[in-house]
Amino acid sequence: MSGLLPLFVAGPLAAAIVLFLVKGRARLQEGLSLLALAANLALALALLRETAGGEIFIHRMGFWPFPYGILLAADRLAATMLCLSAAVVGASGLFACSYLSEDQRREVFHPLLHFLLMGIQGAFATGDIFNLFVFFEVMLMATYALLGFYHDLDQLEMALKYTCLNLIASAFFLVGVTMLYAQVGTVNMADLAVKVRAVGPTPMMALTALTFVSVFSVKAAIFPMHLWLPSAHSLSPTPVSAILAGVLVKVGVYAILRCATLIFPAPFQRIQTLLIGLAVVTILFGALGTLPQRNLKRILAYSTINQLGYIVFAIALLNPAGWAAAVFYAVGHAFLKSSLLLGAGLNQKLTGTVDLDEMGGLMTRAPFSTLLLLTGLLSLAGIPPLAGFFSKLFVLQAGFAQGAYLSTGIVLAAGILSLYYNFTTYQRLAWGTPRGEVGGAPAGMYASVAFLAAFAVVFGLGARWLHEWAQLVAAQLASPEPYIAAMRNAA
Amino acid sequence: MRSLILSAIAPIVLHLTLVFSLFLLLYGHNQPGGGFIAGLMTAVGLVLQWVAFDAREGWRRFNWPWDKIFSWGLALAAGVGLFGLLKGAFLKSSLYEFDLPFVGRVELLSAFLFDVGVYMVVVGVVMMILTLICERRSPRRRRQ
Amino acid sequence: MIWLLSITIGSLVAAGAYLVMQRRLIQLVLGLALLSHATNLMLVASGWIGDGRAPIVPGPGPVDPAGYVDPLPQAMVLTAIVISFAVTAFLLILALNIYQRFKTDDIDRLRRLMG
Repeated sequence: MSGLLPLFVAGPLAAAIVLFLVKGRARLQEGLSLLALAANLALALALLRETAGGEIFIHRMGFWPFPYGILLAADRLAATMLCLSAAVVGASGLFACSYLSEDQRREVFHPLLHFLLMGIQGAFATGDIFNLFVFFEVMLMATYALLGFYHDLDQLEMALKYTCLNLIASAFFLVGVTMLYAQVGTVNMADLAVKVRAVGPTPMMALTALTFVSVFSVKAAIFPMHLWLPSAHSLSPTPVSAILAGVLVKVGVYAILRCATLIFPAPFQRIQTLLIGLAVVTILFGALGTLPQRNLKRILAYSTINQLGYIVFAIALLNPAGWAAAVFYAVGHAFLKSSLLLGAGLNQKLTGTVDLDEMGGLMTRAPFSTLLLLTGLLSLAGIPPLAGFFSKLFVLQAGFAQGAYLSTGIVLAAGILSLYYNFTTYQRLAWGTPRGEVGGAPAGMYASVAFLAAFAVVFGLGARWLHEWAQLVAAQLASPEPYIAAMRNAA
Repeated sequence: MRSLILSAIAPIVLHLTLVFSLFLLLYGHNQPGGGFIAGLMTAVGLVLQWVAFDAREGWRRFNWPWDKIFSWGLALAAGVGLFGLLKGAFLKSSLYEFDLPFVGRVELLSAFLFDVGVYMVVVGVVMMILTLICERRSPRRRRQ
Repeated sequence: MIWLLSITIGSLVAAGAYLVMQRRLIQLVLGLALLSHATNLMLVASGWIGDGRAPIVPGPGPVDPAGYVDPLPQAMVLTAIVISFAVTAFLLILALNIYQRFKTDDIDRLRRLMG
């Protein structure tokens, strides 16, 4: 399996090149793209099975000796995230085949999608913090191009805002790498873990950790850095916004989790209060932000901010229960939110609008797509047999067990807000006086939405199973020594 | 706005930059140089033609399939990486030695092919960016 | 010498921050380019030693690493330069696109167009 790790990077790269070379032949391109996505998903599932026993796979690129070369590493967390990205990007690719059927620019969409996948999977698989930066940039370059089909000024403004913010964040990422390198002289994550521990939680190290957290919080849309998210998610093409909400923000979450558990465990203790505070503000801000909106995709975007707050809150508790809750939440939310955004796109195809005021009575006229949306919205609201309920439950459990009564109390209260906005959204969408025309949609769209929405149910009914897995992941994160040893002794 | 001196010198400079970039490409293993800088050097020589003449003349002279060059370059680089995977690790470099007539012993490092790929990618990308900027500037192709 | 480097980085950041806060898109793009140059320089500076030699090995055989500048940040900064080059090119084309469509690159005026 170690030898196959580079395929998570090289596979999408090769696919992107081939797709770029066959542009102009749309059917062939779509077929090859879906084939590559399916193969990628199969590979990710195989990796998940192999890592279940706790084994850690390492691949040394170019056979460079330990602290100097770039390592690809896959533990349970990385395998989970790789599966998640492969599934969500795969479903979005399937959706895009029908969504972009008339668009002239679909011929560059598929190559870019695979470049994006390469960046995402590289970020999940790498064991080197500078390499993480590089894959972040690969990912961002692909999104810069994918976000814009640049038709009107709103979209151009969104693209400009997104690009500038991320460019500045990248600059700060480099500043963080510099600070780290100047202090300990390495960029390999395992080597960093050892050397940062030896330096101890000095103020400078806490500042370094804070720099990284602020950079990653741009990706993860944590409170002061969340401003790009609503417009980017609502104005971009639907398959892209599904990937943004489902996977891209999880890359930020993943990076924070890695920092908290592997690289900076001690400095994180110093900034814990700040992180919890920011997470709580993010939760409140996201929930309140949904209230005045009438654009369905924009509501979902604000709800993403809300949910990300929960995930970062769980990480910031800095104990294995919290990390398990964060992993559970991240996995559940990735499937849920991408199914909802694709559902919104499906709905847009059916009704021609994303404006809630122009919808109504869809339950009787387009029952299947509305039921799919209903599943997602109920799950987001936290109704018991669905995944969203258990996600929140585990976060709150971890919070109360930690003794963080005040912040967890606020988080609990904010849950009522999310109940409210999900129900009003559903009500405006599904009931009321019927407005507008309802057309048809291709089967591929239904299939991709149903595939993702099914997970909301599966992870709800099978919550125990997923939570056990999340606890295994968290247990591995809580004791990083085997991870470090595996990297050191990689053959 | 066409400068006579510049347009007389630009083609000559192009040849010089091409030779020098080739030198950098071949030289860059143990000495400063390599695919990236060589590609930039070539691209700069080409961009100078656009500056010296206008965009239309530039395209007339160098109407090459830059996007194909870019993607084949990327394919070459990725292919070398995957070839390394067969030899044990992704991007692992391997050394081959040949005896060529009249030349003598030649060492071929697979990293050199990677460099050639990078060279093609860089030249292709810069020319594609130039396409985007210049096509838009000429009024007849502007899209509203 | 390290002081010179620090002052250069500081002035690049200052100039970049000033330009980013101006009204025109081209100034925004240039400002962001200056900011990324500053961070690249900073990365080079993290591997800096007094009067170190360039990390180029003269030939085969063992080499004493003392006296050489750390090559790792230089390899990293090369990557970072390429990335900032690509992003700057993207931003320039985006700004050009906006300018040609709306005949202005003044951010205030664009905002008024958005209504």
